[in-house]
Amino acid sequence: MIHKMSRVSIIGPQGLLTEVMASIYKAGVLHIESTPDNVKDSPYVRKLSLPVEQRNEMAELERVLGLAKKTINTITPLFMIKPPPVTHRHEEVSISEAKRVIEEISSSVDNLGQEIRGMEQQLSLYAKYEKILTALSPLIEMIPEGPFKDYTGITLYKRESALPILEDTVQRITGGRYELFKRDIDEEIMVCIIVYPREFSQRIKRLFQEENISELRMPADLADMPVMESFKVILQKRAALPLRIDELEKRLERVAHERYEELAKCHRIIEERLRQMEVSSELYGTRNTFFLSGWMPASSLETFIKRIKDRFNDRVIVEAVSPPDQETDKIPVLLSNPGFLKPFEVLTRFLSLPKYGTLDPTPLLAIFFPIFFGLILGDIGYGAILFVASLWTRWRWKTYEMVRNLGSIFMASSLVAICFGIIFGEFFGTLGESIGIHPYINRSAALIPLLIVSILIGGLHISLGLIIGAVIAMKRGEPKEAAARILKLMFVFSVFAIVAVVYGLLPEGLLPIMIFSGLGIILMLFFFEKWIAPFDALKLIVNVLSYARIMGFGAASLFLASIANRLTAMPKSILLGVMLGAFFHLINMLVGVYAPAIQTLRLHYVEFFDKFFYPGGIEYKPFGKGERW
Amino acid sequence: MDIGLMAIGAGLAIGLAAIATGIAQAKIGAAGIGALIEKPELLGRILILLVIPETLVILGFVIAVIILSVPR
Repeated sequence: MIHKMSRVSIIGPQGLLTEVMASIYKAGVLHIESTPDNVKDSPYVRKLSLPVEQRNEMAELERVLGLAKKTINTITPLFMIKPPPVTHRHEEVSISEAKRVIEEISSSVDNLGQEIRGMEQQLSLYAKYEKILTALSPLIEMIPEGPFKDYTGITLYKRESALPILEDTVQRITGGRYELFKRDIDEEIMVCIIVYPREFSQRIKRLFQEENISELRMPADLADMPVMESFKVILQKRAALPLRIDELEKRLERVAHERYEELAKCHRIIEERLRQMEVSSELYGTRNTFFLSGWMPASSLETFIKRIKDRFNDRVIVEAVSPPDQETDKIPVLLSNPGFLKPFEVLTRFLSLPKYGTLDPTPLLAIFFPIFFGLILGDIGYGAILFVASLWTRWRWKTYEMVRNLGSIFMASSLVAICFGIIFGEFFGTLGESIGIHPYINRSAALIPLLIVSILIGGLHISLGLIIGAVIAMKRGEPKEAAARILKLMFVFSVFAIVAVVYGLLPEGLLPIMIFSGLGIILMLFFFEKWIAPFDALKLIVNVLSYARIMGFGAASLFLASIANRLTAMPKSILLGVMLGAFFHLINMLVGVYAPAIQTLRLHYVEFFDKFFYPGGIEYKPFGKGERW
Repeated sequence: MDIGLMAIGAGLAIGLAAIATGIAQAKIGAAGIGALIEKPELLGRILILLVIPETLVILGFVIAVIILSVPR
């Protein structure tokens, strides 16, 4: 159901604004609305501006918040699913303490991250050198020993064929007193070492510079070492760096797990303070006063007013005001269902919140979702596995509200699937028969009756939606919409009556009456919906037929399960047969869980909700710690 | 009626409907993923749009079942 909301207006002197905002924030129930246009237009009213020191504080808090967000984004991927939710109890931490914690954690995460990135870069650089040095090492061993000799290493592209020209020049400079060793690095590049007397060093190195041939240079930290020595160091570092990176990553992970909650709490404290200041800066007032208005659950109104009056006496005026009728769609929506229905709110929110003053479809989803899901899956074995899996998921991720709610939904749905499994006599498909489970209704033999039942369910479900839709439309003061929905309901009945006459369930004499009444209803719909009326009537028929998927997907699941059972019996090896069967049953079960869930949701969202649901409700977001809601 | 022709009819009913659904879903899915990257909160609505063409294949399936259920 949608919680009843009340509107509150607060007026007070600007000197008390910070204290009033802190009190409202602590109460955590007021959804502040943007200032109404008629107030903004008044000549005495202006937007309030914050003093300079508060604006500076805001800038500083924004910087710290940015730092916290960056750190949270860095460490969040280190958690398996997502980090645990943070509780709201953190009054004991001051703003300055929160800033200190954020800066400390951010700096340690940043340092570790930089160190890891630096090492990764070093590793990729060494990997590049290793390739060259591996090719070079046999050449270096071939270089003749001698104190008066010098050598230069170069890399060349093979396709440029510059080597013969280079060799000619070196021969001219040295008068043939040189030796050249070469070796391929890969298909494109070759490495060469030229050995020559030291007296020619300068001229040869100048030649390379003039010809723009780059000499082989070691990484900066190894530049002073002999080539073979640096090669050894590179190999050592290549072996050691991954271990060091691994160690640093583990440290980063440890920091993430140990300090995430602290960081997230401090992030929230800063965010809340900033939010208070932002909201204050958005308010309007006169030269000496401020005012604001907002929404809160009607049940909290009395306590809230008393709290503000007790704290500020008559210095601040707080009162409940009745909203204009045309503003219903602007009222924020708070869904408030009993505990056993609460998990199903996830499915409602998945689409959109209903508008205030309409119906929250959660209780209807809680009834029909498990029934449709169970009807489609309808298997004792699959249902039991799904129940255990949902129970485990709910227990394993109990801190994640979304996962917990989905677990509860699938627990209820799997229980219904087990019940229908008993009716259909299905245990991992046709395996039920061989272990003595007898069906009350055999799905594989009763496709047509089940098809008729599915379409009948569709007719009833859509009729229910139309009745609810008509009532809501009347409540919202939309009599035309209500009348159109009643006409559509009558159209559905007349189509069903025509089908019943055709199949001999009703007297034949009723056929012309039903046909004319159906056509008459479409004509009357013209009055409300103009040219769209015949399409809407056709859409209704398609909507009802769409429920055939209950039978269709159910039968498909059964046939796939029986194929899995047949495959089990095919191989001569029992072990292979069992493995094959288990594999196909697993696939079928995954499809069998996914398909009914999606199809059931679709039947609700597209076919059912369309008849009464008003999407686009504004979410109730209380200004405060959110402890109550 | 010849059982072979009935089987071909049923196969065509569901096969052609499935191809049409696939074509429609491919286009909706591609556009939907594009929209989701910019607005993840649209998941619910995109899911609805994505599964709308499935009615085609369901109707094809119903026709196929009806064809195969005609007394021979």
